[in-house]
Formats: sequence, C-alpha cells, structure tokens
Amino acid sequence: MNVNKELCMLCQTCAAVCPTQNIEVTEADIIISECNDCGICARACPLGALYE
Amino acid sequence: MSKKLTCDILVVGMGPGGSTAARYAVKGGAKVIAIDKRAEIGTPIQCAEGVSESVFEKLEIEPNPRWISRNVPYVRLVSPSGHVVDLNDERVAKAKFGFVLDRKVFDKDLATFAVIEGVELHLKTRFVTGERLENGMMRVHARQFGEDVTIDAKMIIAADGVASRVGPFFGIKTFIPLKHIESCVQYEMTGMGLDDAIEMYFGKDVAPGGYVWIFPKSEDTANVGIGIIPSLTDKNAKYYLDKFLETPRMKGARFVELNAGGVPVSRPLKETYGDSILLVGDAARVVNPLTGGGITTAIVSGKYAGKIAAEAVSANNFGKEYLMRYQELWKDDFGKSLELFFRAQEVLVSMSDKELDDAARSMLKCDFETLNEVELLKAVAKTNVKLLLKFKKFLN
Repeated sequence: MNVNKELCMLCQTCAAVCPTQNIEVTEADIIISECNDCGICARACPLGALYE
Repeated sequence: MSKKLTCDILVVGMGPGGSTAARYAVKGGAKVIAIDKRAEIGTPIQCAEGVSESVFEKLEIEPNPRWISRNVPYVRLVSPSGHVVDLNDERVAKAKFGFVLDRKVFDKDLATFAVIEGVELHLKTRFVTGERLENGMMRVHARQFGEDVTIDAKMIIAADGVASRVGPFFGIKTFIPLKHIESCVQYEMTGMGLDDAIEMYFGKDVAPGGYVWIFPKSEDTANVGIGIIPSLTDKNAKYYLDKFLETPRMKGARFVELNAGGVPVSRPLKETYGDSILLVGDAARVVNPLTGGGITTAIVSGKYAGKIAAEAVSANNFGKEYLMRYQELWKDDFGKSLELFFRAQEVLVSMSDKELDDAARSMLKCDFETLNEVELLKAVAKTNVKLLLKFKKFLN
C-alpha cells in the first residue's frame, strides 16, 4: 500500500481498520509495515490518500 | 542511557477521556503520568464538537463559558427527498439546549485540570511498544523529543483513541471492521447562513451509512462534515461532502478549516479491561453508534477508569477480575443505551431512501416529550415494524 502524503491528514482511520494493525500514524508521519495489500485501509480513508 | 520514569498509573492519550481518567486517578491518591504524542492538547480537532447539557454534570467541574462555541436549541433532520423535520420547542415539550463545544479550549482545559491536580504530563511523547515485566509491572517504551524514554507503571489506562496502539500491545484486539467505522471529513465553513439548529442530512446518495451534519459554531461559522460507512460505497467521504457543497443549502459557503477522522460505530469492546490495563473512550469503542457522539461516553468511562485504577493501586491488586468492576460501572451507566443505539444504527443503515422519507413524514405528525434519542426512536418505531421488532426489548 502506498500513501499520497499530499492528501493524507494523519487522521488514523486507516490504522483503526488495519486487520494486522501494521499502520502507525505518528504526530508527523504515517508508517506502514508488513502490509498484506488487503486494501481495507484504502477503502476506509476519508480522503482517498491510500492506493495500491 | 535512556530516560526512565516510574509511576502507579500511566495514561496514554489526553483527549477528554484520558484527561478525565488522569484527573480522577490522581485524586484517588495515585502517582499518575500522562503522555500524549501531540505538542498541544486539543489540536487537531477530529470531531463535530456537539454535546448535550448532561456532559457538564458528568465532569463534576463548573462549566466554563469559554468551552461553548454556541448553544443550539433544536435539531433539524432532512430526509433524502428533502422532508424537513424541525425538532424545536413547538414540537418538543421539554426541549433542552445542545451545545457545540470549542474543543481546542475544552480539551486543553481538561488536561490543565488534571495537571493542576498533580498529573505529570509529558507532551510530544509517543507510545512505541509495551511489555509486561516478570514482576507484573507494565513497561512502555516511548519517544520523547527524539529520545527514548522508558516508563514503568503498575497499570495503564489506554485512552489513545480510535486507532489504539496500546491495547493490542497488551493483548486487547482493537481493530475495527470496515462496516463498523464512520469515515469522516469535516470543513469548518462560513457564509452559508445558519439557523439555530444542528442540521443532519440523510440518504444513500448523501452519506451512505451515515449523515451530513451542520453544527453551528458561531453566528456565521459551522462544522460541516460527513460520516460514511466505507463498506457501503467505493467513493470516499470527501467525495460525498464535496458533492453536498454543490447543493443550494451550501451556497456562499467558504472554507475556514479542514479535519478528518474515523469514528467507531460498533458495540463496545467485549472486554474494556485486562490484567493491569483499562481502555476508555474511542479506544474502548464506547461511542454512541447512532450519532457518532463520543465525548460524554469518553468522559464518563474515563471517570470510572480513573477511580478504579486508583482503588487498584490502594488495594495493590491489578488482576483482571478486580478491574472488571470498571466495565460494570460504565455498563450500568450507559451500556443499555449504547446497545439500543447500536441496534438503531443497524436499522438506519439498512433503511432505503423511501423508508427514510416515510420515517420523516411520520415524525412530522408526532410531538415529543424530550429531545433525546430514545424518545425519538420510540416515535419512529411506532411507524416502522422493522424498528419496533428490533427495539421491543428496550423501549418500555
């Protein structure tokens, strides 16, 4: 999964729905580790900032 | 050498739930450290900021007028084909004020009260990982201004929001299925003209699984936002909100601020407690799933968590069975209504646009005693068999 950081507002909705809880949103960045490309975070993103 | 801190109770996240928990824990005699990843409590706003009067009683603090952006005396519901249901004092016998908060001020004040009571607050301090030590202590590894910091606590209160990281690290699964989250975008806007109402717009082309809201913040500015259930559509929340901005209602509206966020609309976590840990607010999923409102429930759950945690410290008992009392307390307080609202939300999501229009039409024929969700559901349930069956147990 990729993040368009120009769209991301670090709102953490993606992190809340990630089934493996591998998305961490810090105060300044979004970090995706060990992604299975299930695409759930992309669907949850209110801004369309995540893409495969 | 990394910095080392120790305390009785560590609170992670200083939203309204965490700040309230921290305040009650320290009042109960415990040594409390609180951490928040932000540099300033209260920003960014991820909320429509609406509450009802009762929130101030729950806080047990004299409400400060600075917390309130605007009083909003009534609610306007708009159905998919445009039926307008105004729940104002002509229709509602004992109408109560709703409030739109200024959470930048409110949240920061709640944190300040906690600090005044004696909570040691560490800002720009982010939870990274956690572990249980052999002696039963909870160890948290955090980053603070670019440095590692280790915090050992007898127990932890996780108030770290919808995307809780603390819960999972200590064995409590918190992730939310796609059908149980509202994906939200909000614009603070000015210039579109406002009535004295909280406005809510429904419909599958307006906001699938949720609604568009207009919450007035001042004479001429309002939070204009949307929540949608992502499993019901391929489009995102921003797409639908931008579409709403094209409607005549929003003519002349201009942007002041942008926010985004996710709101859990599930049942609460089955277990909001574990050995040496309690979860409060959004992290525990104690949110009204019908409205998405979570401020009051966060505060109330925070209050009980703080009290029970302090008692656990006094009793030196951090076992799950002891901490279970926390869940009993919040369940006694608002558990039954959350269950009702969850069922109502399930029905609302399943209703077609035509059924929503019918519900609006029948609401126009009703008068209401009070303006609370239970009262409204009762009235609507009378007109809708599906609803009536679902709520039978609750609406006596």
